[in-house]
Amino acid sequence: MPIYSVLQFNSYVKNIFRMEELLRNISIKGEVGDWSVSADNAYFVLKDAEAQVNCVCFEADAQDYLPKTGDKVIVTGSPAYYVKGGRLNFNVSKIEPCGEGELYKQFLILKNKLLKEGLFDRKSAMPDNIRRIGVVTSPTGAVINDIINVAKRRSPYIDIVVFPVKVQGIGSELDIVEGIKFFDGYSRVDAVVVARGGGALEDLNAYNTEAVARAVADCGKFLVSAVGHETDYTLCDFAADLRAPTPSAAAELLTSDIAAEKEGVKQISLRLKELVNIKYNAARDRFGRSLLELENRIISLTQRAGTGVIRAQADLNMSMFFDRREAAVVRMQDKLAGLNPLRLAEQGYARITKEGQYLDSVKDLSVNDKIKIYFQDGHASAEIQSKG
Amino acid sequence: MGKNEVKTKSFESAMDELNIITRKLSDGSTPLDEGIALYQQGLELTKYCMDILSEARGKVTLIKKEFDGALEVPYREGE
Repeated sequence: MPIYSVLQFNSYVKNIFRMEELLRNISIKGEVGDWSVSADNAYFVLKDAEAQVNCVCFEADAQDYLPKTGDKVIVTGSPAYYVKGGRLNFNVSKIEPCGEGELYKQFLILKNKLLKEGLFDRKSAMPDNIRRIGVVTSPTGAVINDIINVAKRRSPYIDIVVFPVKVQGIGSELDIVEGIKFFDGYSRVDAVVVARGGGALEDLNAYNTEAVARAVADCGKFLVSAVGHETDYTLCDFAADLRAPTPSAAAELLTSDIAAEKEGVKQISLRLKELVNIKYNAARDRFGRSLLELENRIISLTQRAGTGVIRAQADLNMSMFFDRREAAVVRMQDKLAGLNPLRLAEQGYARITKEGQYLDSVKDLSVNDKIKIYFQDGHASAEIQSKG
Repeated sequence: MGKNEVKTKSFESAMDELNIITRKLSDGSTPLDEGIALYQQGLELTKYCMDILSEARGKVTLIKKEFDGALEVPYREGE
């Protein structure tokens, strides 16, 4: 009996798998476990209740659909035995969702395509003031009634504009796209709601079409999607700026509680009163300070003028306050008048200037200097003949 | 601001103006007489906003497609 090396053995096994036509390009159904992606290769195990097989999918990014751990899938590919590790892998060339029917499969594939494209990343912020809401939905039934009732209860002044559409059946997605585009270009609404009640996946089909998803993502207005029950997610939900679990919730999200708004206005009115009071008090204080300053100046001027002291007394009586200042000003005027150089001139004194400068000493004069003599009623020029 | 001017204002623009007035009033450099005028204007605006909130009733309309566009017609339940 020949004895083989490990390499020989593993190479032999590898060849058996490679040669086996029946194992080439086969599909296996199972649940994904331990899903991980590294350097664009996806590694996972495919398992069912009794068995599991290691799988690897090279260039996983090229797949239309990528599962996560726990998803049921159908993988297509071929087994390969790796000599070095002595390990069997299933090399996956294609992964498809499984177990939810053809429609769900298509939904997942389209969702993944739009996700990769970044269509679900285009979100805009909710505007501050929403007064008119455009609703794309059926004009009859519980959905529109719920939206109207909730919106009116919270904000009675809000306007609701309904764009009537078929919410299922042939042509419904065209209706819905038209409604979204209409409101997008309609300046008289501030936000848009795309709404529909719950239903089977088939019933929500229009909201899972590429056309609707793109119209929603392209809508420049803030758009809330409220399609189906809380547990149903549609492509419309993913593409919207915001997803509301129910139509009523959409109305609630877009309206503010009137009681809160009234409180807001009341607060502004209180704030205005407070601000004007602050301003009034500041102005009053400034005025008070100016008067005090004036008073202090008068006192110091009067003191310098040598007329004694005027005492400042705290006095809240405004008329007295002014009277005292008036008296002080009059007194100061008198004193200043006493110091008026013109009054001295009236008594026969004159001022002499040389080159524009007042002179107070003969030492500043030389023979032949030209001077000016100022009287109370005019001046005269003179020349110095001699000095002593 | 005249009375008629207030009457035609939307709630949003009244609130925007109130915010501007509040900012101006908070500014220490606004003179007192101007401040008092702003305050009066603000009071008028808050009353106007309150009236809108208390009295205004929004409409529910339906878009009706026409050959040359669309128009809003009153919405009646069940139509």
